[in-house]
Amino acid sequence: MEPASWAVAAPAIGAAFAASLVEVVEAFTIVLAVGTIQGWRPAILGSISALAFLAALILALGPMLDRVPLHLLQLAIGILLLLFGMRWLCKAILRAAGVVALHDEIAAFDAEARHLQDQAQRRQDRLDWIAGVTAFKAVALEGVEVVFIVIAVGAGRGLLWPASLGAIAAFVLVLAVGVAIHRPLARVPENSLKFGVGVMLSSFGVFWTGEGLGIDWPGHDLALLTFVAAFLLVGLLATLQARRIAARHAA
Amino acid sequence: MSLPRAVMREVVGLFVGDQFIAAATIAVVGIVAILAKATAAPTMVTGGSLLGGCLGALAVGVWRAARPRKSPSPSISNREKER
Repeated sequence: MEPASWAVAAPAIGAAFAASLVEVVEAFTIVLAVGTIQGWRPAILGSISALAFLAALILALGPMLDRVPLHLLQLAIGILLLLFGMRWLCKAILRAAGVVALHDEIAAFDAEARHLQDQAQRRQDRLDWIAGVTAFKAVALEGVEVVFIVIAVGAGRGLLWPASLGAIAAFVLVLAVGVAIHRPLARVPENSLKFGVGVMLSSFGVFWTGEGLGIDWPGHDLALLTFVAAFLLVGLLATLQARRIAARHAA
Repeated sequence: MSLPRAVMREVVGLFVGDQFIAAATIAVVGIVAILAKATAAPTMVTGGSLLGGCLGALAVGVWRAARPRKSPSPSISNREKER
């Protein structure tokens, strides 16, 4: 691959990997709670059913992407990436500044376990079904996000395979570490990942939106590096500013 | 909540967390589209407006969400904060 192509492919793999890592960790926490409380049969059945649902979704959406004109696809994906990336970046900035509480995987695990134990006391006979549906929902909902991330990151310039590889690597990594330690993955620096992914997705968003509008970026693919630097700088400055506002409010 | 509704909420929630940032981003893209198509402005103007507008939307969105308010009406929903 040429250096300029790598400049686009490497961030696509990295963005898909990091974004998927966050989503897979969240799904894993709930599946682990289901498996621990109600046994692994409903947890695994629910998860496999959800993966089959996601595979069907990909098979349905994939061929449709080929029929959309490239400029329209780039514009649509660029706008979705901008919305998605800036949402993550804003949330990560507010969490880093202490305005919004950090996401806690152990708290999420405990909440899901408590919910299942409450259900167990009320209706023991249907608990396997409820546990299976809980695992299905967790994997399906977080998985839908992963599918959109892969499409958004990869579809603009034929990078679906590199983006898919990034997502699959995240899935394999979380599964391997999760099976090994058998606990919620609370030490994943989720907010830093969200900040980094927000910066990358927003940069991709500006790039694809511009391409879709017919803007001929100076330096072509390498313009992405400028966008990454700009979003990183504004993100860090906004974190400092939000922290200052929060401190002033607390005082 | 039924699964299709939950999936739909999740998909919409993917893109619209902070309503101000979402609306401002769409507005920036709309203005740049008009600049690019109707006025045939040079790349530095359209590209710079797109990048600058998005960075501005982000900065203002963060400032709006961080500032203290009297009524409990956060721009990021409670569900968003929990996730």
